[in-house]
Amino acid sequence: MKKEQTPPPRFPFKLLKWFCKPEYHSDIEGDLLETYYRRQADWGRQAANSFLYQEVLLLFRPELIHYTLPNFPMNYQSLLHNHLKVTWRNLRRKKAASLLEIAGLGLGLACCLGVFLWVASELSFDEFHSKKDNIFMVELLLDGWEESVVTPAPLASSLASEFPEVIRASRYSYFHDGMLMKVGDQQLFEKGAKVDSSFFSMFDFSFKEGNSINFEGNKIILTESIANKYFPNQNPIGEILTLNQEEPHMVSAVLEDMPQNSSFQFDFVIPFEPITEQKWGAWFCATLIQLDESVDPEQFLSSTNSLKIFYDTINKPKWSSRLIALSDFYFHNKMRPFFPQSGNMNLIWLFTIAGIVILVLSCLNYVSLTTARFVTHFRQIGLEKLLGAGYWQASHKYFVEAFLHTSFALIIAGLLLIFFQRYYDGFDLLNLTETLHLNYIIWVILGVSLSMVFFNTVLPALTLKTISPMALLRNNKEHTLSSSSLRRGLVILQFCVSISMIISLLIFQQQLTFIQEKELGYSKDHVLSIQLNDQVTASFPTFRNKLQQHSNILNVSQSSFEYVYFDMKISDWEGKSSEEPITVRPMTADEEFTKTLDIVMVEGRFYDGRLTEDESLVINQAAARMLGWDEAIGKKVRLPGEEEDRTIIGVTKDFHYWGLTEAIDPLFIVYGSSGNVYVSIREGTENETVAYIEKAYKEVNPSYPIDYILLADRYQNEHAAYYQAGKLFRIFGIVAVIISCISLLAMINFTVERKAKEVGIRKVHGASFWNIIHLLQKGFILYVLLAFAFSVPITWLVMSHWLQIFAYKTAFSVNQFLLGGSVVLIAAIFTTLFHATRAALANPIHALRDE
Amino acid sequence: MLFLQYYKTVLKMRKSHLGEFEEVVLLTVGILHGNAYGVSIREEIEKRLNRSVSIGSLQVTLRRMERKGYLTSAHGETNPLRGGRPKLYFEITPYGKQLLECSRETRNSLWDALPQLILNLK
Repeated sequence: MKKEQTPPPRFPFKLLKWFCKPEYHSDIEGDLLETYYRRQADWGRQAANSFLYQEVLLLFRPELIHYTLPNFPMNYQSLLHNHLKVTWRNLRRKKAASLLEIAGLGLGLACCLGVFLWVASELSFDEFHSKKDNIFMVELLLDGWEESVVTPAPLASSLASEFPEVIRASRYSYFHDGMLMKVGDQQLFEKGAKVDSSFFSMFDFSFKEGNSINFEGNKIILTESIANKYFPNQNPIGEILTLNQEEPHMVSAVLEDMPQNSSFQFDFVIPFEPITEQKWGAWFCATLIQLDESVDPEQFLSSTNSLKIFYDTINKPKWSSRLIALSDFYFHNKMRPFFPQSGNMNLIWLFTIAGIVILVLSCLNYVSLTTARFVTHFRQIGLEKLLGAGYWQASHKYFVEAFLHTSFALIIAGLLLIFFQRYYDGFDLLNLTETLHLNYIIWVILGVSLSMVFFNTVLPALTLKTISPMALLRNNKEHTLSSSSLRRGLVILQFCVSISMIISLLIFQQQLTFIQEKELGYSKDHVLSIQLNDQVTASFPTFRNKLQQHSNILNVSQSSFEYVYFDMKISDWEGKSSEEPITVRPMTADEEFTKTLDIVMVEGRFYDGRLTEDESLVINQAAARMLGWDEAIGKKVRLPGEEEDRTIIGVTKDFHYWGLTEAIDPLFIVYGSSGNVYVSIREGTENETVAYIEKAYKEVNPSYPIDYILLADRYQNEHAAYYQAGKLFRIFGIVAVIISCISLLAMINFTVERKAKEVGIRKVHGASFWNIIHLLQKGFILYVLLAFAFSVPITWLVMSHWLQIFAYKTAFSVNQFLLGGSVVLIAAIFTTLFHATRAALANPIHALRDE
Repeated sequence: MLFLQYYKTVLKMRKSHLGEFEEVVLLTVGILHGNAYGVSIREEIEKRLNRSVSIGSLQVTLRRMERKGYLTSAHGETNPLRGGRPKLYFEITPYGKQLLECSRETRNSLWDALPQLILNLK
């Protein structure tokens, strides 16, 4: 044995100690150590170490391992039975208190479930397609020109034939304004789409009758409801119908109606004309592709240079592509040309947060009520703990109770939701069950309720853990205090949440009013927007002449004002300082445009219609700023795709051609006639003038019904989602206040009970009514004030962050904060006053006779 | 009744069975008489039989035989090399000795029954 020996590593011995049976441990460790030192002497430290690890691992045998599995000697079945019975008795004995508890839970659960189901249905858009992960829309980035999801017609077929990764490709275009469908005497505008036949192999739209084989030429596929509408009680296959008065189409198949949660919403489908020549200039359709399952879309875009080579071969070397996944279609802001509806991620977030807040609030309410009841059960809990009930056993009862209460609350929530959908259009349970899978719904309900049970049990159980049984049995004041300080904290937290909710609600409402009343830069109140079909455009001059004859019609103009969807990249302008192209939005308008919509010119003039306007251009202030011009008049700019420069002849004041969520982008107004017709009407004569317009339209275009909307209404529709959100938010605010008041009611009830004797003695000694009220109420008012102090900064932060989504937002005012606080304060005072008054008016004898 | 008797015999037979490694360990404990503890037993086996033995398998076997009553153990002295842990000395019980003898007899009788021819064939 050598003198100098290094000690062995400690970890293996710790490991041994951890798993080895304690009775074997000591001599095994001795043996290991002895062997280790001998090996170290013979072979050196490293070898000894590795032997040691090996040996310790080999000691990991069933005979030597110390099992630490706990065992439950208790009979849980009888415990459960007993607890269920006790809970049921409590429910029946204290009907009012139990009802409050369950109602609070039920309200919260209803809000939360409603929100989560709605969110789930929003997120389920387009999820039902089996190839959803492999379907993409191609977005073209055209350097120096524009970026767009509207793509040239030959792109789809070229991609499919050039690239083995692209299994299928289809063009897709959508008739936003609809097409006039005519069968016999029945004619109406229906929304339709144009696709290639591969479309039906990519997407899972199922056929009711017929199929998509040989879908070409003058065939048409109808959806079920349209087929029933035009061909009631007969087989539509093979029937002929007319589109836009001139194109006869033969029904070749019937599709089932689109599910609610499909981005694609059309009533009929007609086939694209086959591509005869590679014309890359015609931009009108989306390109949908289905990639091979094994192909990573990122890789397809980046690594394969072939895409680049392909663009070179068609002489478009500056092009490149991006892919938009099917699941993003619904939330993508560029999809307006293709899909009638789109989702709003901001609102989804807002409501998810609001739902969670409400859930937490109702749980807090429940917890504070349960812990309040502890005080009356002190003796029982103390005795249970003294007799050896562990922490789990003592809290088992609360688990059973919370479970039962939540089940009742779930029933109440279901009833509330059914009640709610009757009075609110935007929410439909039946719709939800259609669009969502049933297990999805069950998961949401289970998840929410179980998390509720968990939350409701953990806090009371933790409180129980800290209380010593002796203190409980002695009914020690100290512990009564500690648990009531917990409750106090909970109540403050609840008020904090409800004050925050109400302030947010007020700010949200103000933002909505702000949107409604904001100076838009154009007049929307008395302007009618009339849609013109391609077929009607020819007769527009006659129509305009007819309109201008009427004295109450002030101006008539044609413009693409409502269709400013696209980007245009400008890379050549006077005084250009950098190479970076700038993005502007193009719009067309005729000479009457500014007069019709009351748009103010800041500089120069608008088009007057007499001169040749091909060389001039009107821009808005944002564009002038972007291009860096102080004096814009007379400056030159080259539009992409044009040979000659254009001269700026005028600058308009900025106007909101989109809603207020978007900033005003630089705008180029080109002289031209396309888009809708705008008619400004003398105020107060709307009904009669609109009737005249309808008549005039009918005279000019007898075969087409008129389709018009007031600009103010259109603007309202644009923000409809936010108005609806505002309505829902109001309900949430009210629910939050109700829940907080329930918990306050229980608290004051409890205080009055405990202070009954004190009140009696004080009254006997001559305390006045107001003295007593003050005694009972002062704490609660303090809580509300405290909660207010906490909630102001939080709300400030959260709301100022959320309002970022609006490009134009209202400022916060002190009033909103004060109003939010005082609403809750008043609610609190009234809730407590009722109870306190009863206590203060009661005869002191009843309280004192007890002894 | 017959079944029970049969079962008892089987049990007895099973009880008296010594595994190969068990027999080696038991014999080594006997050889080391009075100095048989974990490390010494291991080294003895490794030296005599030229086979490596892990502490794990040795410990498991020792404990099992102790539980069955073939061995007894007693704590003894310690030394600084063992980090203050006492040695655990093992000793064969009379029952263990009986088993060893029994096993030897069985082997012998089997050897005797073996025809000489087969042995010589080698």
